[in-house]
Amino acid sequence: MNSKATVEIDDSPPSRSDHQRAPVHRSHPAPRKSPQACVAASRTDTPRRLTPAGRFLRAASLMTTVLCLSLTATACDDASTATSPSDTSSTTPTVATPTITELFAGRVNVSGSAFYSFSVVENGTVNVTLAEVGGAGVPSTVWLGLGIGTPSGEDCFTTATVNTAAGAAVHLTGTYAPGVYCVRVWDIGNLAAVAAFNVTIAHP
Amino acid sequence: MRAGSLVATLALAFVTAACGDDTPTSPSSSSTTTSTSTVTFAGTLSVGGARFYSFTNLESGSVTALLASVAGADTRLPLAVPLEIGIGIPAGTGCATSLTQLVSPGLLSQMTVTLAAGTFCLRVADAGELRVPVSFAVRFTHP
Repeated sequence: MNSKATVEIDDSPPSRSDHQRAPVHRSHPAPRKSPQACVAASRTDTPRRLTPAGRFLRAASLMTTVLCLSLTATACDDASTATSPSDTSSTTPTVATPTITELFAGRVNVSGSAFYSFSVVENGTVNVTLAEVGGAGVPSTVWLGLGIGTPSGEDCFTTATVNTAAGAAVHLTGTYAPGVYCVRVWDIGNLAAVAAFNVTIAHP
Repeated sequence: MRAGSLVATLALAFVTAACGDDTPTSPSSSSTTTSTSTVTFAGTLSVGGARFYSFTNLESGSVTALLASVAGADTRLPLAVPLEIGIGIPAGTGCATSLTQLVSPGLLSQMTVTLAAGTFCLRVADAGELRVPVSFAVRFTHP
């Protein structure tokens, strides 16, 4: 909580009539007071009959003391009264499990690539598996590049990749927000002929 | 002396009061600027073929497209043959269009559609008019 204090100061000089009618004569010079001695500033040492100007200064001193104490007490209290967030709802999204499995069956040329786009409808887990690789002159154990990304231009801009041989286990997994994504397969330099492949994509 | 004490006390009061005001000043203007990107999608289209280009709208807004040119892939001579332009969402190995239009080459906007933020695609396809492969150029803008 922020505290703001506004103090209006009337620093206009006393009226001419006050100067004329009430010259201040002190029998003893007033002691110099430090700024920190706010409270002491209001104290009157010796009871005496005050002139109008003296009464003005005394009242001003009392007001100043009160203002000083109140401002000191309220101005710097922010740290102890932190504002609570207005939104107390949880920000952790639910992670859905895959409910849809798509088969990406394609071919990749020597030094080439292929990609497949799919839509995730709710925040959840996406699993990608290079299930099978084959073709004339292509060993089934050949390694290919496999990646997940977003369609961009005429290709798939991958953000997570792995080089792998075909297998039954999931090769790439991650949590993705709703949106359009793509899986890309490419030759990492191992192919001597066109390879046929099967990739399974499981997503919410 | 009392006046000096008064001034000093007031100064102290203001100093202690000032340290509590840490509220940042709000910007005086809250207006936002919508920027658009212009893309030229060019390539070769075979007879009966289709090509697509994916793009991402950073915010909702209008997407406009025009078929800037069509020319023989070999001859480079301009052709007046119309092509099908469509806008949709990348799906599988293609672009699933939700809006298509047969357009002839021209330099005026030929398709306008309002789309939400997200990933979309623009598809160019032979609508059955091609007799030879052609080079094409489609210019489109999106937010």
